[in-house]
Amino acid sequence: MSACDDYGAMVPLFLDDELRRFEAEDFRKHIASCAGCRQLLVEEQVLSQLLRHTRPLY
Amino acid sequence: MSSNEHAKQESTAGIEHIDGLYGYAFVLTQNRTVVEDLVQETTFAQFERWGDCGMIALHVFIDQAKSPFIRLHINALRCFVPLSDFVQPDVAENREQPALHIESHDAYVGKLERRQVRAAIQQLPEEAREVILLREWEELSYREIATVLDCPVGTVMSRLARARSKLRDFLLPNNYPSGEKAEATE
Repeated sequence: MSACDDYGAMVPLFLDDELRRFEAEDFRKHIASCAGCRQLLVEEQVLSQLLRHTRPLY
Repeated sequence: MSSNEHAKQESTAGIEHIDGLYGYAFVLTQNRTVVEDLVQETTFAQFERWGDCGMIALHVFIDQAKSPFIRLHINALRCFVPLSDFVQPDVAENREQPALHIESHDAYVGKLERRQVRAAIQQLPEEAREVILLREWEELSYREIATVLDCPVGTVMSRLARARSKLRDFLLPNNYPSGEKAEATE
C-alpha cells in the first residue's frame, strides 16, 4: 500500500475530526504537498456539505 | 421562583421538545400517521426508561433532549416508510407557481439538490443509512454512533465508508470512482 493510500483512508477521519492531533498534523503536511490527496479531500468535503445542506431543521 | 412556577416552566420546556419531535419526524417521514406513532413510541420509551415518576422523567427528558431525537431518528429509519413518502416534496413545492413568479436559481437548485440527496440516502441499505444520518445530520462522533447502534467503532467506520462510497456514486458520478479505499471491510 502506498503512502497516498494510507492518507486517502485518513481523509474521512480528518473531516470527521476523528484523527489524533499528531495524525492530523501529519495529514495536513501530506495534503500540502500532494495534489491527488488534496483533490480527494475536496471531493469528500463536497459530499459532506451536500449531505449536511439537506439536513432537516428541528 | 415558586415550585408551581418551576414545574410549569419545566412542563412548557417538555412540550416544546415534543413539538420539536413532531416537526423532525415529519421532515423525516412526510407521513402524519407515522409521525404520531414515532413520537408516541419515542416519548413512551424515554419515560419508561426512567420510571413512573412523571417529574423525574420530565427532568431527564429535558436534560437529555438529544437522546429522544436520536431514538426517534433510528425508529424513523427502521420503520417502513415507502420511498414515495420519504422523498415526497412539500405540498408547496408541488403547487403551480404563478406565471410572474420567478424563483431564484439558488432556491431551485436547493430544492432539486434536497430531493436528490434524500432519494440517494433512501436507496442506501438500512445500516448505511443509519450511520450516515447519525454522522452527517446529527453530527455524532464515531464513538457516540457506536454507542447508539451498540456496535464497535470499527463497524461504524466501515459502514460510513461504504455509505459514502455509494452516495458518491449516486450524487457525484463524475468524480473519482469508488475504489478499494472506500470499500473497507468490517
